[in-house]
Amino acid sequence: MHRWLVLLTVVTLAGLVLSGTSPPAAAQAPTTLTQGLGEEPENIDPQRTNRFHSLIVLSYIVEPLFTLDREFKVVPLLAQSYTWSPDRKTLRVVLKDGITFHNGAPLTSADVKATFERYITVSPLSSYVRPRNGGIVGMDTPDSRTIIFRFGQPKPLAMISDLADAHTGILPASFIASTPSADIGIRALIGTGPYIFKEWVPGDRIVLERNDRYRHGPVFSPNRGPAHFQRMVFRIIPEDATMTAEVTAGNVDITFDVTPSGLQQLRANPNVVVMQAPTYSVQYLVLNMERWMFQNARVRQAIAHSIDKEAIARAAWLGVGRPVDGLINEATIGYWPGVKQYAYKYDVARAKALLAEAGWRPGADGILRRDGDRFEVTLITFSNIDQWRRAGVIVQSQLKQVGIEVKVETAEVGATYDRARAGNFDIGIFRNTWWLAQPYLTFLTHSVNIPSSNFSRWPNPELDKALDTASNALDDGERERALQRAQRIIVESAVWVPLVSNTNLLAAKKSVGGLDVLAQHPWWPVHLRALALTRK
Amino acid sequence: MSRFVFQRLLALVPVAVGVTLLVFSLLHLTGDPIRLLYGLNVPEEIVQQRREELGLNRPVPVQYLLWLGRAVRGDLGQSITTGDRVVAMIGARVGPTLELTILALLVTLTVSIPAGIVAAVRRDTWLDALSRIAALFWVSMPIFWLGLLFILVFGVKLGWLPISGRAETFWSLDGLRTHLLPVLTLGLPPAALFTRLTRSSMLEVIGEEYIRTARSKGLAERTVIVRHALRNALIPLLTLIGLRLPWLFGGAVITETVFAWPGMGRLLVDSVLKRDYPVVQGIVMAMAALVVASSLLVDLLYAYVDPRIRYD
Repeated sequence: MHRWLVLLTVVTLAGLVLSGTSPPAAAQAPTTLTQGLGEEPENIDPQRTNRFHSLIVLSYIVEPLFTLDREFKVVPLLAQSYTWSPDRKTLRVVLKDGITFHNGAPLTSADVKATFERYITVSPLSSYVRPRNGGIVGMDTPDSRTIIFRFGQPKPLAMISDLADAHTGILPASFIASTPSADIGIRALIGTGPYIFKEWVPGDRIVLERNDRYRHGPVFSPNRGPAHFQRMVFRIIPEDATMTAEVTAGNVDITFDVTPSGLQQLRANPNVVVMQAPTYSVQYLVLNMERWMFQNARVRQAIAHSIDKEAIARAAWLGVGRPVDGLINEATIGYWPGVKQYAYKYDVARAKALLAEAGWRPGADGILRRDGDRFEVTLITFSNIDQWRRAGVIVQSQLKQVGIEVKVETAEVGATYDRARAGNFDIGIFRNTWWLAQPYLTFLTHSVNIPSSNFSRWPNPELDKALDTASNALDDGERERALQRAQRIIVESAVWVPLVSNTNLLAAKKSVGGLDVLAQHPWWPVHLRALALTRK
Repeated sequence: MSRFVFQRLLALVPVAVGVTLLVFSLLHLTGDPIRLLYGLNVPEEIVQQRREELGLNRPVPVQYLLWLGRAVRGDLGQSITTGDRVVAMIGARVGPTLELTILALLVTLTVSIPAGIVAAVRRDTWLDALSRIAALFWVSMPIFWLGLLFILVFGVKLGWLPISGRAETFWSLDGLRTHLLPVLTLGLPPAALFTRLTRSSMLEVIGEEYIRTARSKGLAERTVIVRHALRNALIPLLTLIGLRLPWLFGGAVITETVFAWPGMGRLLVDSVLKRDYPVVQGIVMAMAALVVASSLLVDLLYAYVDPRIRYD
């Protein structure tokens, strides 16, 4: 008898287990949107983080004073209006009336002041507006809706680089004062955004609830609030194959973490939409100018002519990368299309001729020689990222074609950067991501950043001057021209060879609406994601 | 008995110190966590300021001793990347890992003990051959691959089970369904080894004099096997469990990654990649403690299974 009982229990359990086909957590109620996150945010504290996945989540919860439209123009968000003093050293901002935080408290100038004080103190991204760099030396709050920023020196980029950036998302002053800093963005976060932070189960999911009072979305958003979904669930799925499986099975509504390897499978799925958009990330090659052979401009130009960027985009990026001409691309604020005419085209014959002009002759083994020296160099790049490792191998074979022998040495990201800073390399393939031409180009190419982030070790006063002007000139036109000059110098020098920019990939269920709105913006701003996404 | 337990717990101290010292030294050899965390866009002055705040500019031995001093008082410090307290981070992750490994061990034993007994009792029959083939198959199966295979078949193709994630509690329909694939992935491969060991151990015991005596008394075969043979055959199995426990925790790291399981293993992988010294140290210590505690439990079970073993 008991044997039958056991059998019955087993059958019942199996039936229970194999019944329902709905996934757990994020129960697929129509009022919930489940997003797949490929990396867990370290925290979602706008002031402490500088990680992309943290930015994605916190941008639903907190808001800066301004935001950017698709032409990269500054648009008021929490601010009603603003005025600069003629010397660009004082900025007066008036806040919108009637905006409240998630805890019901009204937004006031005191909250803005407390947030910026915290931003200047703790944010790794606040360098431009720190007092010691001529940034914010004082803030006045004449009334509850007005805040006056006083700068030590003209800071023409402050609005676009800081005040319109989610890292200056405004928090209530009382919340900052009463919450331990380590708890902000981990156990609690209060903002004015379209979603309210509800729960974070470490390693599993972050849950946000809709802010039903939200009505002040940016003017360029088709939905100014509240958001369409009652709940926004970010599921953390670090393994690429698992993420692809979750999207394929329909358990994840949308993810912005699609890898090139999963792309084909998702494209073949009739229930999934895959979209691409340019990123502002650029993969580039840099020469160590302390090496004698690179000090000859012809040699550098020959190397630039030897690189077939199309092949790298095809083979290293599996077709989701695009060749780029400059160290910044069209998705970056400050990009200059004119840089194309200065870029070196793939031309092996020209490369060989230039090397011959520089005195290099092929030896018996086909490798170039000059005065007894063999043209043999070491290329370093990241071991743990496929697209970099592959790019290294492709460049190795392309330079072999012109008689340069390359030894590829890879290590994980941190170790590779350490080696680059120590100058222990000849050629490096790196990447950087920044949405603003300035201060990005300064980080990569200004002599003040040798060797911390300018690995070329090539001080160039002309380039420094152009970059400084692009950063500090009061006149918009003068800054723009200086930035163009800098881009031209960088590309012409052939010290840096821009390679490929990857594309943002998005995979979503066909039932997810609002993707067309995202598609109108080259970089799918997160604010828009929160407000535009809907269920068809 | 209590003295034995105390001695074993005392042994945890040098283990913890040795392991954390090794991990600390190795991690510090790999480079700078702050630059890795902040990337290139952050100026050196800010990186330097953060290093000073965290005491990372001090000599490594000093950093270790300071960490050890705090750890003794139960303070494992703060995560470099999140700023959260390490004790809180581990506290949130230890439950799911223990749940996964214990359930996986139960699966291993539930599958392997009956299979091993059958293979021994039905020696050289088709059942024995089948168990050998199955064992060979499972022992050759890498956990990572098996997990993805399960996902593909049961999650994507058939749509029967969730692909990843973990429900709040095991004691619910969702809980049962989310646990099934990761537990089987971690529990089935070691079952092959356990099955073969149970078989050989049973064969050895079945050949003993006292088993023959039991049979000659006219006891039912089932009674002979279950009551008399199995208990003695289990002793080598307990040894193997003790030896395999660290492997189970190691396997959990992979399983948790594949199934997006919010356990300690995944936190360890993330923290190693980010060079988050305090978190890695804390997890290594917690895992060492778990392994030592599990081994202690196995030792105590010896005494229960084999009356000849005493720890007085």
